[in-house]
Amino acid sequence: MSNRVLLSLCLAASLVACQKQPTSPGTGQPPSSPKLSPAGDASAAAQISGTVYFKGDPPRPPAIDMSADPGCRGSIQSESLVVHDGKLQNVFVYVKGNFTFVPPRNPLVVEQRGCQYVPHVLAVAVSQPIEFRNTDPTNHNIHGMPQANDAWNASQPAQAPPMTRTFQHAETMIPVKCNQHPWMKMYINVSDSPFFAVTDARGHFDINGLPPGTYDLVFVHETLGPQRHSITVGPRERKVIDVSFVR
Amino acid sequence: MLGAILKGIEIPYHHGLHRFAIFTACVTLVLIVAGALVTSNDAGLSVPDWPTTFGSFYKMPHMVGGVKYEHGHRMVAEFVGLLTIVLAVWTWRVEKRRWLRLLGLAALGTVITQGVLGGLTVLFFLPAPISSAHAAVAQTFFCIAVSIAVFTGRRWVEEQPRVELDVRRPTLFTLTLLSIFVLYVQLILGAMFRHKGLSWWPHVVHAAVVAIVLSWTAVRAISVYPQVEAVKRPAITMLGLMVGQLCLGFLAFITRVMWGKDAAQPELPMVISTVVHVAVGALLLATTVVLAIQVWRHVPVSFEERVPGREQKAVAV
Repeated sequence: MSNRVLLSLCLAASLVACQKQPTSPGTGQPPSSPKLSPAGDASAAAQISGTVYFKGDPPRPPAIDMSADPGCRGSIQSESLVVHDGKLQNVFVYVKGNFTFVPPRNPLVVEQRGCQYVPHVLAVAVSQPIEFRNTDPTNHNIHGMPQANDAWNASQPAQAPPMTRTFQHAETMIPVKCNQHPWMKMYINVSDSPFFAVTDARGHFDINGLPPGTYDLVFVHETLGPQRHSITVGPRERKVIDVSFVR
Repeated sequence: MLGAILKGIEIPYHHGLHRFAIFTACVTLVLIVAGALVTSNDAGLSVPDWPTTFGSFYKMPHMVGGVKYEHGHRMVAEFVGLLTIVLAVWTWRVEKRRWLRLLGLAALGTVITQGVLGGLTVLFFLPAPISSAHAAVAQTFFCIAVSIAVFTGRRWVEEQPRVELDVRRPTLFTLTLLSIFVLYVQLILGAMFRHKGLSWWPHVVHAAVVAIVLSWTAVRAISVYPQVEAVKRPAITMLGLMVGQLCLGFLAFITRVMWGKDAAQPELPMVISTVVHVAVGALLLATTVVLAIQVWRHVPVSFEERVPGREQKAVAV
């Protein structure tokens, strides 16, 4: 058995062990960083981290007019391009490769709060459940528009029980929208690799537990598109990869 | 002579039926506007079920956000369906012209087809071909309703038509049919663009073809038959609507394709320009259909030219 397969199996076991509680919304990160079992070659696992930058002057995000529904309160802005000090949020980062792993069973949560999806960009593993919750005092409809998976459209009244969806095929940037409130839009990324992340407000990402080897590291943004970088990581290596998007 | 033939059957004029047909056509235009508002506000799936609304046939949902447009459209559509049933039954009962009774039934069949297409587009999450068919059948129904209003009118029923034989090539009637054809193509291209099944450029490029064909038709009608009021009036209206529609198309292009491509939500200028563009498009198509009907009645092609095969056969014998 090759080292990579062994590592993947250990990783799967540790992922299953870690999945107990639903993840709170807001991070868009995997439920736990993949950890290697001490019984495996955990000491060889590498780590990739980095920052995604936006080059140039970002356009000012347009303010959203929510007057169409009195149940939507507060003031929000479009999240299609979120840049803080030149650092780009909501970029889906994943390692391409043939990994064998058991998908986590704990659901990731998407909350409809203030007539906005939280988080705006979510990443899940194939078959990992996503729980949609509506904490707004108004109806929402959740319309998913994947290409490789089944589309759906369902209504979720105020305070209705959570609604759960799973995706069987890997796919990036699946648009999900609410037609009752046309500004409400989010993106779901479904990964067939356990090594993925979404950049936070500082444009930062972390991917842990990667077996040594050469991989494609892919960065995808909802409006700026994908970028692919070839990387090689050695045993226990901590690699820093910074990338930039331009418009 | 043809006028005498056309007047050969004594047809009573039904004032009530004519008024009702006009009312149905007007409410249909309101329905087209309501449907355009659904698309322009991106509200097509805000009610996820059909034929029920949030699981009920009769409960009024909370009319906010996209629901206000989608459910409002459904309510106007139900009203038009009801009007069409009354119109078909009324026409069937009082009309002597069999073809008009059948046209009333055709209107009913079209409105049922339209309702089913509207339901399918919701159940299949707005596929571009079905949504575009829904848009095209809507305007077809509008043309049928307008035609019934024309055929039941006092002028059509009681007036002796003034007939001028058409000897030019292509005939004016051929030009009006060609105008209807290019308008239908334009309607489908526009609907496919609106429903994200095509890019904008086929609709924009074909607008030039529409402008050429409709101008040719209108100029021929106005310049050759200025004395035939029933032909001149719709020809002038068609020309005016076409110019207005080209301006509205330009406005819709600017607000939606240029300014609105990165918009976070449908903006008011985008909504107004596209909805008015759809409504004027429907009026333009219906006016062209009326022109074709009036040309068929007042400017017929001579019998020998209409059936050259028979003429040749007669010579051979």
